[in-house]
Amino acid sequence: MTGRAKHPRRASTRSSYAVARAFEDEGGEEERETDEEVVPRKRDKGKGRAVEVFDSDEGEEDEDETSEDDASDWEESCKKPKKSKSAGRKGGQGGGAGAGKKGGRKGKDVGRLEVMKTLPLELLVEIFSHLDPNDLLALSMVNKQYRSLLGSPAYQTVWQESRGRLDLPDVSSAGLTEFQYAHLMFGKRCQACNSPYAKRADFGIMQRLCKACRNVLVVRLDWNEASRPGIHPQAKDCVLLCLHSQNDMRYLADAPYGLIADLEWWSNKLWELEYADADAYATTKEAAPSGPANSASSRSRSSRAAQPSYVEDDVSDDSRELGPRGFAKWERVLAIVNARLRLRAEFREDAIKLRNAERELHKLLAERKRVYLFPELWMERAQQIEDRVRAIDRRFGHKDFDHDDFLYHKLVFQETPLTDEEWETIKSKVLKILYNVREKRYVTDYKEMCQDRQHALRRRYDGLKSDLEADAQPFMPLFVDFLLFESVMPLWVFDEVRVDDELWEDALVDINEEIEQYRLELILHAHEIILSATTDPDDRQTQDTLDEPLEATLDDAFFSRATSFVCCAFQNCKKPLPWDEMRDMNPRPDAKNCIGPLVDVLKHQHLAHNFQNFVPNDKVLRAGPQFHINLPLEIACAVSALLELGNLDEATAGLYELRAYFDSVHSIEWENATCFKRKFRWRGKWFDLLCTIKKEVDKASRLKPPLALEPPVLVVREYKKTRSKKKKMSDRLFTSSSAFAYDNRARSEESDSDGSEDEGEDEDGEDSG
Amino acid sequence: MSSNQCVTLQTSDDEQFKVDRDVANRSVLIRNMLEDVGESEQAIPLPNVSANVLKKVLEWCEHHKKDPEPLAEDLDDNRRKTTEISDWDAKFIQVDQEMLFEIILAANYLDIKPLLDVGCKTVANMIKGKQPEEIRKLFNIVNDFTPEEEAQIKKENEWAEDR
Repeated sequence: MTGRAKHPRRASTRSSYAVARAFEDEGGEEERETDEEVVPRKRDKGKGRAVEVFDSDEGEEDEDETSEDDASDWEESCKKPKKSKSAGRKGGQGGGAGAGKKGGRKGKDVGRLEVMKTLPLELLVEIFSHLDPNDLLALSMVNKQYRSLLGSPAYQTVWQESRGRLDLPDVSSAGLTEFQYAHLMFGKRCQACNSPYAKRADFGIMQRLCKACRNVLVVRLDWNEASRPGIHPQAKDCVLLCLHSQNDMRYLADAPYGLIADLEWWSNKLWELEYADADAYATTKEAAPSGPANSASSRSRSSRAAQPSYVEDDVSDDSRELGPRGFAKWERVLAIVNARLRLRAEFREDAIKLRNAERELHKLLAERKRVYLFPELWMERAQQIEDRVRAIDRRFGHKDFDHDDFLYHKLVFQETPLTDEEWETIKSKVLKILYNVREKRYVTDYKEMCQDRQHALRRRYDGLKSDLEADAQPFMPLFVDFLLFESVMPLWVFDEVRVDDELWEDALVDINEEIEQYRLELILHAHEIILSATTDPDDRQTQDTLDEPLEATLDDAFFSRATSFVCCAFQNCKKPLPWDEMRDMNPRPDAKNCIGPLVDVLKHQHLAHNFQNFVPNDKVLRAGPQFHINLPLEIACAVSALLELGNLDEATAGLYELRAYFDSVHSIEWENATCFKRKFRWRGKWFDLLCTIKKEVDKASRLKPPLALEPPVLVVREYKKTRSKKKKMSDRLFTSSSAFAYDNRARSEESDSDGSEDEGEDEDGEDSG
Repeated sequence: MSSNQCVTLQTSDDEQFKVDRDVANRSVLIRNMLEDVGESEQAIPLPNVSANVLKKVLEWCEHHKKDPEPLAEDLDDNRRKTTEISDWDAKFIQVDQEMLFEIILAANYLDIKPLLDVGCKTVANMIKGKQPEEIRKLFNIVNDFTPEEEAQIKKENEWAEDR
């Protein structure tokens, strides 16, 4: 027996898939469309359950157009800085002259003449033959002459020799040009967002993408099809497979991963073919009616064939099967899929070859860069420089000369002994380095002293906290926030202040006042985030609630409701607590409590996040005391969906009710999960689910640009029931007021009770799976 | 033919240089000429080389006059494998760009493979690891791509499946 909370915003997911590869000409633009779709979603607040489901085709078309525009806008905005950069560079031809001057001053006469142009072609090629493919690629982008020279088939041997020196193999299946080959092997930037953090290319898809873009653009292909409605079931057999999973580029992935854009493009193409064939089939049947014996069957076949399979039911499980559904019998589709499967196998072989070559290449390049020095000689040189500096300025200490910035500077990090002549030339530079080192050391020394003084206050903070009443203790700020209080800062900022009992007593009045203020503000803040996440800002009723006096709403009942759950704002706090002791102190089954009623979350923070003994960095210092709680929309949606599933009253249900209901069910499934963990079946499953959602939300928010997840679609599975109980349960579902507990499965349940046995067996099979 | 016999070389600007035969022999062009012509008191004209360049080239030849002749197959295989240049050569080639390219042209004309290699390797080392814009600046090359063409080139450099 299942129930489901459906979300209207699933429709928008569908449309984002539907945009697919409709705009072939746009090149890489469509890749961005998915995040264009997703980002604005954060704006439409509200609970997971909403009113309408925008499912019509027109809606989809509109969506397509806007997303196309959005995508091109995005592309333009992305290109702008690039353009301006190149414009700047173009202007830099004047800069070339400037460089010439500079070179002239050095006596090198850099760039005064365009001398490269005076060389005959054979000499150019001779020079090029000493270069690596990445240098050739750079040269090919210098001007038209070099581009055409290096692109011409006559000079392909230059590339081949260049690759040969680095043991880079020839590959045929992808039809890579030499430019593309070099770009793939030596490029450093992400092809989608141009970020410099894309060290490795994925040769399976022949693209270099950064981690953030991979998270957005790459999907796992063997997920259940219900989570990707509208995608042709065989599209995933046509998509080129990534060599690696989304996040781990070190190892080859066993599971299939591919680009979303590819998947959509192939899906569209296959659907198109299928429709065209179905139409053709229908018209031929009409034109040549067969005998009376099989006319009925042919009519039914043609009418079924003429209808697209997803119009009938978009999430049908049997749409995968080939025969009875009718679409895969279309030969063109089959032919394409088979051809793609063959090509994919070839492609993968080459991709692995390339990937291995790349690894060797990286080793080779690293080896080339490595500098081998005899440490004795280097130290001798450092000592020589130190002696000479000391003769000039005695204020530099040992710490300055031991600093890495000094020792590893290229003027010092050499084997050759220092000569008088060389010393004269490098003297000023060395002194400058040492002044910088000294300044840097002063800053770090001061910071360390500050941290010591901050640490010294920890004892008093702990004492103050234990003096508070048990109810008030969770509302005590964390130590780092406490340090940033206006009344506490003077105790550690100034070097000359020594904190003794007397001074502490004096400051205590202000401190207590500020702690009380913090508590009130924290409660207000919590109230605010809960309301903004759980209510519609346009709703007039909400405005009225907001205007009500706060005392009325801020009682314990308000915060203990499930709808008032908040989250710990520290990221990754699902990690187990550091010490067993901590677990003893917090013995509840959902021990981490990073999501729950406000007081629980605050207690959790004191247990799990209050170990920092000093202000870690300037950013925290500038930000001042913070409230470390938040409530992402996705969590609010999930809680509301959980309540719907359990038929629990939003106004009263809390921890106890949630626990009681979900301990009695078999499992919860997060249907549109973004991670691999989608089923939760052990004790505290609802809490595990929320924690997983939170982890994914954190992950998505760290992406560039930050994303919001789709509102979670949850399905609950009850324990296997006997037949009579089953019927009762389905009755209960139908009588429930929850509109979205009524879903396809429930419907199949109904038909099951009418007498068909097949569906019932299917259901049982799923339950056990 | 005695090895310390002198040869006279005449540059494009009519300056004459007297050098030892084995120094001049570093140039395959001159060696072939001398072999063809036989002993002669006449100056060998080098119309493509100016005096200051020839001076540099002869300085190199003087230093390398005792180097063994590299084998023909070694020439092709080894010289491209490394871009390392010996210390003396590196110091020798520290000249301005104009002179560097003149030396390369002269080495090419006089057919002095090792010197040509040194010159080409030096230029290659100047190019190595640089971005297109840096190369343009270095050699003062005009960027004749329009911004659209530049974008097109960037697009061409990225692989896209041909469907």
